Amino acid sequence: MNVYLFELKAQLRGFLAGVITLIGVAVVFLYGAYPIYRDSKADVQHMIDGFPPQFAALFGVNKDVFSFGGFYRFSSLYFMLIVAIMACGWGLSIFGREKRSKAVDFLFVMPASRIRLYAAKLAAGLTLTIAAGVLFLGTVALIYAQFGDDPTATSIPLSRLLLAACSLFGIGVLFLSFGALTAVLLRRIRSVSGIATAFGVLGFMLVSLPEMTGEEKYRVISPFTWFNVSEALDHGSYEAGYAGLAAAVAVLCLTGAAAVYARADARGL
Amino acid sequence: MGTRVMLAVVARELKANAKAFLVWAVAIALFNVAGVMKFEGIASGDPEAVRKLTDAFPKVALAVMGISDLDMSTFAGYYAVLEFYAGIMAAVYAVALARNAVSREMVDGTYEFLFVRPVTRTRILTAKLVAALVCAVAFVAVNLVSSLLCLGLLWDVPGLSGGSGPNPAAVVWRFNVWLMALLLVFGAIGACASAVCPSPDRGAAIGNASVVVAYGMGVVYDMFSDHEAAVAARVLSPFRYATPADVIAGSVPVPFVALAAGLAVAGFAVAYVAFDRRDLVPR
Repeated sequence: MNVYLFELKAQLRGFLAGVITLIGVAVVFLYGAYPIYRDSKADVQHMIDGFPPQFAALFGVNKDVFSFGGFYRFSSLYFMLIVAIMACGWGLSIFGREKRSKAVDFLFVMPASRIRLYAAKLAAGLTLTIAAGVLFLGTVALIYAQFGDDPTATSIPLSRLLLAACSLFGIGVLFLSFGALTAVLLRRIRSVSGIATAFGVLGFMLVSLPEMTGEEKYRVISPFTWFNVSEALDHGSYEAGYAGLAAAVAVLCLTGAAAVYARADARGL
Repeated sequence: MGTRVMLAVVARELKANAKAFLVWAVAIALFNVAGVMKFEGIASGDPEAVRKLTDAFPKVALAVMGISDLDMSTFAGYYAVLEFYAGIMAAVYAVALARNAVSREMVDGTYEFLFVRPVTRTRILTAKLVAALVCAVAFVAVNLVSSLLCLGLLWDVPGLSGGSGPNPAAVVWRFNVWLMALLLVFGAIGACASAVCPSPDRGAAIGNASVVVAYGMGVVYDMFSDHEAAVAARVLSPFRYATPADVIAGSVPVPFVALAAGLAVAGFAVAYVAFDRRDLVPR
C-alpha cells in the first residue's frame, strides 16, 4: 500500500499536466471546432446531391457524418496520441523510478516480495489510467450535452459516443504496459519523456499505414487501430478479434515485465 | 592535441548513439517501404469529383482528418502525407539526439570523466553536436534512399510519370531537404532546453513538449489557413514553416525560412552559452 500511495503522489504532477492537456484538446476540438464543421452541412449536402449515392457512401458521407459522434471519429486519433504518450510515460516513470534514482536496493530491502512491489506499482499505473479515462468521458458527455437539442449533432446517441471514447482506456492500458516492459528491460532510462513520445508518435504514424494504403493486414502492427472507433460509433461494439489481440499484447507485456522484475539483478552504483 | 580529444569524443558519441540510430533508421525505412510502395494512383472514382467534394468540406474537418490542401491521387500529395509523419518522427529523434549531446553525462553522473579532458567545454559540445549531426544526416539519408528505391519500383503505376505535376523524384528530394531543416530546428530547440534547464528531465520534457505543441499548432494552422490570424499558429509550428504545397512546388517562403534559420542559430548559441556556464550539480 505504501508503494501504491507513494507512486500516486509522485505521479500527481505529471498526471495533472497530462489530464489538463487531454481535456484542453478535447474542448478545443469538440467544443470549439465542431460547430464550425456542423454549420457547413448545407454546403456539403448540396454538393453531394449532385453525385450518385454510391459515391458519397464511398467517402463515408452518411447521415451521421455531421453529428457530434461523426466529428469525434475524426478527432479520436489525437486523443489517442495524448493518452498513449501519457500512459507510456507513467509506465516508464513508475517502473523505472528506482533504476533512475539508483535506489533499487532501498526498495528491494522492504519486507515485501518483488511481485508484491510490482503489483503495487501496476495498481498505481492502472489507477492513473482509469482516472484519466473517467475524467475524459465526463468531459465528452458534458460537451455533448451542450449540443443536446440539435438533431444533427445527436444522431449518434451518447451511449455509443461514450463507448467509442472508452477506446482510450484500452490505449492507456496498452501503452502503460509498453512503458512498464521497456522500463524493466532497459538498463538505463535516460529520458522518460523521450521514450514515451517516441512510442506515442510511432503508434500515431502506424495508423497511417492501413489508412492510406487500404491494406487491412497492416492493422496488426498498428495498435491505435485495434480499437475501432468507427465500429463503436456505427454498431455499438468493438471487433472481438482486435480487442482480443490488444488484451493479449497488454497481458503479455505486463507478465513479461513482472517476470523480469521479479528476477532481475539489482545493479549497484 | 585538442583535435585528438575532440575526435575521441565524436567517436565515443557515435558509438553511444549507434543502437538508437539503428532502431530509428529501421523504423523509417520500413515505414517508407510499407507506405510508398503502396501508392496506387487514383484508386477509385473520378478525381475531379473527389476534388469537388474535398472543396465542399470545411477546412476544419479536412485538417482534423489530416488531408488539407493535398491531392492524394497524385504521388506528391500522397508522399506529402507520409512525410508529415516522418517529420514528426524526425523531430522527436532530433530532440533525443540534442538531449543526449548536451546532457548524457549529466544523467549518467559521469561529467567528471568528460570535463577532465584538456579541452574547453565549447569544444566538447562541438564534438558532441557534430556526432549528433552525423546521425541526423544519416537518418535523412536512410529516408531519402529508401523512398527513392521504393519509387523506382513503382514504374507501372498510372499517372506517376508524365502528366502535369512535378517530377516524383524531385518531390522526394525536396521533402528530404525539408526533413533536414526540421531536424536542425528541433535539434536547436532540444539542445537549448536541455542546456538551460538545471534538471535534465525537465529539459527533455520541454524539448519533447515542443514537438507535440508544434504538431498541434500545425493542425490548427491547417484548420484556419484562410484566416489572417492563422499566421500566429504557423509561427509556432516549424512543421508548417514550409507548407506541403510549398515543398511540392519547390518554392521557398523566405520569411519563414529566415525564421527557421534564426531559431536554429539562436537555439544552438544559447545552448553553447548555457553549457559553458552550467553548474555540475550532483543529482
